[in-house]
Amino acid sequence: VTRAQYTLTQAADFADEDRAVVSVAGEVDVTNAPEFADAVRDLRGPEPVVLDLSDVTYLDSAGFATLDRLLASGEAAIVIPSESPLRRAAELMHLVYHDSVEGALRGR
Amino acid sequence: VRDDLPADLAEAVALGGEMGSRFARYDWAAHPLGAPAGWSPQLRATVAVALTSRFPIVLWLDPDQLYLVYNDAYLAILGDKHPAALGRPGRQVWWDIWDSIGGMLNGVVRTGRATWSDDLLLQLVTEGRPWERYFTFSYSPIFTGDGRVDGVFCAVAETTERVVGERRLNLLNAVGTTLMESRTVEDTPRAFVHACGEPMPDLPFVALYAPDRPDRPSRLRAATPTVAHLLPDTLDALIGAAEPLGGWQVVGDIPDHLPQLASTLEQCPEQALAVPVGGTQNDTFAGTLVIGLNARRPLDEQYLGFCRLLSDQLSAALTTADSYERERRRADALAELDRAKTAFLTNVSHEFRTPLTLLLGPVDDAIADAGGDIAQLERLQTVRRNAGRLLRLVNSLLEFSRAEAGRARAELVRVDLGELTREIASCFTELCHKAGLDLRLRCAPAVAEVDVRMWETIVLNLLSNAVKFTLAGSITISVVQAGPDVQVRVSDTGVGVDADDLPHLFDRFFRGRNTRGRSVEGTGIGLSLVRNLVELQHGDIRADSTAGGGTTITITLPASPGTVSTTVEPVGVDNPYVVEAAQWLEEADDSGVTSHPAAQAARRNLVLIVDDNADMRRHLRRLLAPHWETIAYADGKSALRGVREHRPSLVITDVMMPELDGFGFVDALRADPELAGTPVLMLSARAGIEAAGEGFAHGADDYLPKPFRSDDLINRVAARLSAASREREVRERSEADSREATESAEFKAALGAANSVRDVLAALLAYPTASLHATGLGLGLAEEGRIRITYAGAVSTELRDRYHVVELDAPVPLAEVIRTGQPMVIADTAEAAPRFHWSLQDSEGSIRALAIHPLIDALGEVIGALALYWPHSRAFPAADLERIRATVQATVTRLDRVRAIEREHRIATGFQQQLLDLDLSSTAAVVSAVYEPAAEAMSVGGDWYLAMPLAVPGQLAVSVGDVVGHGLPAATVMSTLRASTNAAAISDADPGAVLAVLEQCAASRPGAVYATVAYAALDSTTRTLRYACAGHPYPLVVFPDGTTEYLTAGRRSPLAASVVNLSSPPGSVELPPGSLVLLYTDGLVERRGESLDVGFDRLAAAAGDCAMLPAGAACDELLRRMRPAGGYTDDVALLAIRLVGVVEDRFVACLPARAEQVPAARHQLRDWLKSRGVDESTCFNILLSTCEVLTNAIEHGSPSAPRTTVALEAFAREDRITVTVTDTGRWTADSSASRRVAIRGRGLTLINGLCDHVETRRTRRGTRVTLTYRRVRPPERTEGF
Repeated sequence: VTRAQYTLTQAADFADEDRAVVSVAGEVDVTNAPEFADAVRDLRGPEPVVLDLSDVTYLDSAGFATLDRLLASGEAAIVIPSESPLRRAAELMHLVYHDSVEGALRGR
Repeated sequence: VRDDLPADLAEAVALGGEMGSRFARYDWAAHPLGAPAGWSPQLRATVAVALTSRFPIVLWLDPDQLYLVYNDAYLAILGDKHPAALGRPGRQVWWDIWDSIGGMLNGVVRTGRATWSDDLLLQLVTEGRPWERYFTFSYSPIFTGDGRVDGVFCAVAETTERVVGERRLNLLNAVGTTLMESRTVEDTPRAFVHACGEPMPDLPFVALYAPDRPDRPSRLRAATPTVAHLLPDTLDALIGAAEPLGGWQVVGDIPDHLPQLASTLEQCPEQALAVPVGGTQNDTFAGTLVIGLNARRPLDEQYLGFCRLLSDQLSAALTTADSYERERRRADALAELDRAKTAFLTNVSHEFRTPLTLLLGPVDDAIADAGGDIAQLERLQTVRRNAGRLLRLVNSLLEFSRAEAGRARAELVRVDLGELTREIASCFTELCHKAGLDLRLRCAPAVAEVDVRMWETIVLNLLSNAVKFTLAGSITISVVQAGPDVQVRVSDTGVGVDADDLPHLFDRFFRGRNTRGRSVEGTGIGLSLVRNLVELQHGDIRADSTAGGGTTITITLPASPGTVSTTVEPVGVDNPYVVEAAQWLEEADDSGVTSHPAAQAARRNLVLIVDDNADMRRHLRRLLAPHWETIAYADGKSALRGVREHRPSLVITDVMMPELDGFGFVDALRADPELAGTPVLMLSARAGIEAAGEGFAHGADDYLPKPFRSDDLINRVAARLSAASREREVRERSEADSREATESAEFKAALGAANSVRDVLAALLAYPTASLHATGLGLGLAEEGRIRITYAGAVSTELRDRYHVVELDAPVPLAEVIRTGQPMVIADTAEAAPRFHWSLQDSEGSIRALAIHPLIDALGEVIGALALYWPHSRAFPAADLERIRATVQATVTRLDRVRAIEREHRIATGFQQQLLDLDLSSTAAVVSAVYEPAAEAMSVGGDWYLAMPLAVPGQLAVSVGDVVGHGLPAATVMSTLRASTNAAAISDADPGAVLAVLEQCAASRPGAVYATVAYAALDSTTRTLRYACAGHPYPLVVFPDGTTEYLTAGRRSPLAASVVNLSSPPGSVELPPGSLVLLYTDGLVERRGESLDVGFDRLAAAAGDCAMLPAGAACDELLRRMRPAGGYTDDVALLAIRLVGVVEDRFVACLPARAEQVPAARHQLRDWLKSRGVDESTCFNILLSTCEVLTNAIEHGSPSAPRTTVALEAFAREDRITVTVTDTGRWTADSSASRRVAIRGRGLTLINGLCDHVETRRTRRGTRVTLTYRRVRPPERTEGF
């Protein structure tokens, strides 16, 4: 059976920063969203963790709900670049996101 | 898994699901049967078959102890006996039914002969309670190599659903038939209880409670006779602690509550349902039906459906009886009104006679004393003539009403009728001469008995009529004796009577439409009175006439033997009939313009007068001449010429006139652009608001009822003339009013034609005046504690999806209006009360102002509410609110009827629904089916459809069939044949084998002869369809490219039709993925008086257009396209299957309704979208919204049917991509504002935000959501700097 799968990778480019910058790739949906939330919470480093969603190929309403909760509790900041297919859905969900990792780090 | 299993069994346990692994883990070595390795090869083979089969199979191993081994499919039968049952002796497992089956099993062991049990009742104990269940099964021996019986093999099918379903259907049918006879609301409950009969399993008892008056407690009205005396007298005592279930209530613990009931009934119910009946529309009866429930059957959807149909039937019967009673009361009231009218006429006429007599005497004296004053004499003579006429009218009325009331007595004397008639008629001689008519008297002596005074009235009436309608020629009166009769004829050469009017000529108050006579004055009682009088004298009257060819009235009286005894007093020429007729002859010889000498100098206005009464013309001219110039005409036609010639400043016209009446005259004036501006004052004897309204509607500027005061007339004429310019405005306004009235009438007509809530809303939207130019509408109906809302017009998808069902207590405006019964307007949603903010937010953008009005039925009950929506804020002046109230009033009236129609339709389709469940668990194809009962016959039919997933994964068998006839017998045969098809296909799916079994089955059932059936088995792995048809229309294949092909091979005769016996081998066809196969009954294609080939061609053309529609939509569309103008004349069953798979332009999949299936489906869909060249971003949006719909469908699929599937059908066209998701969820389980959860809310927002169009169709079987995405071709890139 094919499953929805994602990977979390510490971004090497931002190793010097004091906050963790993690690149998310793959798919987050209703079947693995709780697991994804746990994985993000397990990441080491001062909060909020910067989650770069540039390589996410699929994110459903359960995924958006998870991101909402992470944002609300101050555990994560979200990056969705302008060329990402997620943009229109993210706007519909009123998700607070940044255009780039740099922007997220600078709080913009 | 134990490693000591022999290879043959090891293979089987791996494929055997749960029981495979339990068998494998079982410690057989410790069991008396020993390890399987030691079992005989035959036994091991049998165990392998049993474990891998998807049909319920149980093995009884060891001839003595009969140890149980069974497969997964058997688990449903075991219930909580599993898993302990494996390997245990039969007697211990099935202790509860051992009395029934122990003997059979031992017989098989002893004799080796198999048993067969059909629909056997076995009361299995599950969770400590016996349940009523039915099974069809066979016990067959398992032999060892040496021919000994080593155990028993049993394949068993549970038939409870069918047995119980048929039983309930029988009962419903019996109840329906009995209730049809019921004529009064009083009788209906008793008839219903009687029809439900003595206690039976599914209906241990019924009881009907209803209050005497709405505010009183409900008392027992009727109940099943055996238990009636044991039930409490009031409803409250019975349902004290009931629990609500939808809009119903469940009463529990019946045996504790009513111990007497438990001791009387063999099977006492534990629960009862309390269901409201009646009272939904204008019913005078509103009560509660209490249905005792079978303690040995679960209260499932089917049982609830049965109870619903039962209560619906009672409600429908109450409504019918109520309207029947009302109809009868109306008829009684009309008869009473008629009597009252006659009494009134009598009284009034009497009261008139005295003052008239007192008027006539003094006027006669005044005329005698007038002397030489000519002007004064003329005035007095006018008074004398008209008072005389009035007296005659009053006398006629009095005579007429006396005859009507049956109080007139004829004083018959023997006279020479010829002589008498000539005497009476001769008084018209001079008048006829003046009128240029030839009066011919041909009266031979003939003796008859008549009342002389009555005869006078008869002859004068007939003659005066003849003069009135004969403009030239002759009037002939003849009296002859013909055998035992005397015949009196009055013939004229006048205008005659229209053929349509002739039968009504003697009806009272009837007035012909003929306006070509000398006058249109008259009351319409003359001829009716004549007939009454003739009949009082034992005579007979008839009329012969042709339009334009004159009229002959013939009176036949019995001739009298003997001689005449009385002499007759002649009638004077001054009798009122003659005087009145003389008035008609006065030419409008005064039509020249009269100018008053004093006025001429002042160039006064000209007033044109039109009136057919000479006295009235003279009177008007006398009044007006001092002020204006006047000119007069006697009828509309000549007056119209006069207007063209003289161009008067004002016209005064009468209404009732010969040739062209006042209305026609004014119409003609208004139609002529040059004359249209002429002010018109209308005079008429018809008083009252309606008459005035009619005058204005025809374009009159003013209206004056007769009698009028002279100064009033003069003032009005003066006012008209001096304000001609203002008049034009008034006229324009009255024209606008009339336009509005027309539109209102058209709206009511459109509403009257509405047959569904959707039609009602469409009518409202089509007439903006009625709906105040609202752009969107919502109509909510309260149903069982919830509100079901139907939307129309420009309403956002969010609103349609989230608020189609809301709880009665939800914080939404529409629910509040239904709760309070008070209308509500929100002029601007930005300023609405805070409690509505949530719900109004969801309609932001499409709704800025709204008005909601409750729908209140004739009993004062709030049945729902109508909401009007506008996209901009607006004010609601009082006139608008009044308009809404009027619109809602009209809507409620129609809605009552619409709901009755829907209920009737639900009963008919509900029957079929009970019989035709659709197994949607196959993943080989998308399956959809529709059933439409014939338009006129609202009853069960003999058509069926069937889909059955086969044991081999990826295989599906389908069938559609048609049993001859209609009604319950056909339905029962249909049900049997359908069940046999199912059973046959499970053991051998080959079309030839299945039809052979059906052939045998049909041969033993008389009603099954000539039944037709189409059967097909689909293998989705080889994409092959094998099929055969017994006398049935050909299945139709629609290939992905839209081409169609009828499957004409595999033909056989209809079932059990031995006369012709043609039989060809089954056909086979290879299908590309995404192909659509249609099976249907002949009702779909057959039309009266048309060759079947024409129907086939029509279907093929329509089906070709459905190649790119999802299966469910294709069914709906075909049913719509093929429907004849007046609806189907025969039942139609239509089944569509679409093979799963991916071809270029389509993607079809059918997945088990489980969340973990979604990712795989998503990946496949992504691959297909990529192959169609869809860009990354659009692809993501399509996947996201589609999967949100899929997830919703899976979450809300019916929990009572676990093995369901969700179908996904996607099509790529040039300009758009559509994706349809079909599930088995019920609309009642869907979202509503009050139970919205956060994630689901997000899902809907995504669905609506990411696609261009969402369409949701909810049916009884589930929900079909179609998403449409427009394809935008990327703009061509140009190289630049």
